[in-house]
Amino acid sequence: MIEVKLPDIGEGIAEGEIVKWCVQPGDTVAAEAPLLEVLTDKAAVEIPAPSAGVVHKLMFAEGDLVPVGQVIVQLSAPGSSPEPESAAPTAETPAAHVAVAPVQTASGESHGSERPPATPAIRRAARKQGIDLQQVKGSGPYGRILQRDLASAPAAAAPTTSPAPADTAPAAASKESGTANETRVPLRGIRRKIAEQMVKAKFTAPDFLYADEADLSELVAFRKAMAAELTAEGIKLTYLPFIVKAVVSALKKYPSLNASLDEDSQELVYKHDYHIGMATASPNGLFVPVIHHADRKSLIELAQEIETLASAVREGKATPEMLRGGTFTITNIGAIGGLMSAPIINHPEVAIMGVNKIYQKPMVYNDEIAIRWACTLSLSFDHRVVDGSDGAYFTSHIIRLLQNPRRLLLEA
Amino acid sequence: MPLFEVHDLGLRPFAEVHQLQQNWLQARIQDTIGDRLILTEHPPVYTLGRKAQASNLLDTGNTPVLAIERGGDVSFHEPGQLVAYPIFALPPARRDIMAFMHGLEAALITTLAHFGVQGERDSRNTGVWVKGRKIAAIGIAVRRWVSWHGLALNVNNDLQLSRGIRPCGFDASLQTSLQQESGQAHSMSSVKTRLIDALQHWWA
Repeated sequence: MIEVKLPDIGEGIAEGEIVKWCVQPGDTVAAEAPLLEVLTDKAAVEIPAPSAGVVHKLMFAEGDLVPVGQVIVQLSAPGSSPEPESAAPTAETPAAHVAVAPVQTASGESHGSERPPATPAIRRAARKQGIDLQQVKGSGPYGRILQRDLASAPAAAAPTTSPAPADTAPAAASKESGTANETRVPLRGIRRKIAEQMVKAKFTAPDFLYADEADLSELVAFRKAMAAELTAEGIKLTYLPFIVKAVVSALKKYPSLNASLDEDSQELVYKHDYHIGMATASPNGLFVPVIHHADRKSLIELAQEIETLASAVREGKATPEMLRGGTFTITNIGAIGGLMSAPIINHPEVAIMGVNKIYQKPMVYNDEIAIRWACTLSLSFDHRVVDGSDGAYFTSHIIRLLQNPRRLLLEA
Repeated sequence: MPLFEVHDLGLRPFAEVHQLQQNWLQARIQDTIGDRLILTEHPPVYTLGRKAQASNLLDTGNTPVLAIERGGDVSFHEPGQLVAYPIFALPPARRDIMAFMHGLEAALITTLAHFGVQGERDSRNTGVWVKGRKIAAIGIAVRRWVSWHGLALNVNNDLQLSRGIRPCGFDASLQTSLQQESGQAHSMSSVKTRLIDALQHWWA
């Protein structure tokens, strides 16, 4: 048995993504014939067979990230003909398949398993050209319908076929795309970045969660009064600008929460800028656009910038600059609901504040029970950098300001 | 013996040059020809690299869209953009993909410097950048250690086509050209001469 390993294809390249298998188990290959294509950033590299043989087993599926030096395919010597094993590696290679729930779109539209897999752009293009996707055979991974499949579909008009003839054959390792009870989607692109980022944060920072309740009745009344006035000027005033303002004030008072830990140099890095990220859902996944220099902006300017950033993300038009440089993150999950949340720190930042739903409930107010507007603020922080008491004082400072909007205005 | 033959094809359709690349790639693998550099310009076309995300196609109108073998995301070609395809066999000591792409970047930076434009490399995003805007894109493929596909340098093109997509996943407003950066149009032949010089210097 010849084990073919992913060769070292360049300095600093530790892994490659398998984009295409050129062979299937049972195929006889000549020496130097292409086995598979591996992608690194901007280069697609074909890996040739080191010698002639029969393909015995593919160790990874298309879409897998493979470390350099890993065995990727087993070849048997020509002439010997062992039973070729199944193409799709499942149980043997735990890293090969990562099941991900189908991505929920912002509109709440669910992707039923009966819909053929395709990206929204492909669906749009199909509608435009009058092509029924149910009738199209997808040649992408897991049967996903690609641009080139539309071109060869019955109703298609414009011939935009890929010039690479090998592309038209669906690759062996991608055939199995789940059963009627589940849909398997390769973990790629933004979803993979999110997954990596979350794991890194969770396994790097020992996180401490602190939550406290605020009485936001005065803020609710103030915002309502001002929102009516600002709507006439075309400005949408949400609670977020007030929260950003209060957070910046608290960060100035407790600088350990506006910091990061440089693990290489073992230094605490205190940031002098107040760049506040706001976790934002979009059809493409979670993004954290950043309000740069939030400390230098008025509530109205913050409201306008929040609106600009949020719509850029939702429309997929956010620039790298919009997403860079955050020093602290706010996640406003309360717009959907939730009494409590335990947000995950946006590494390498050291703290994140979750704002939960603002709702009416009976509270003790001036020694009597009254119906008030309550909201829980939950702060997750990296306990390597931030002490529990600082986290608690920080949250109390924010609550004090939010409970008293006039005081908050004085902070501006 | 020259380092590589230069074939200046002028304005030619993408598909035609793509076929020519494949023929020469095959010939280079079989060692029946030496290294060749194709210089060309293409009529408007969008191309999808191996990492292309459909969401980066916004409004491509009637412009053809082709899926091709190079690495990278979505890209565009239009007249006024200089396209170079090095079909080079990488000798064993130079079989480093990152080093190869860095060589292309360095040659582009040298070329731009002749016109008073300071290009930069971004360690995370391959290509050449000028003050945060992309002036040249790189996307290659390698078969049997012979390179094909290559680079596209915005010279005098108006970047009109870039607005239909998110080039390499970035907003079209982050594209720029030599004309835009230097404030004047430059003859394509003068840019070609400089680029050939720089590539020869690097490949030697």
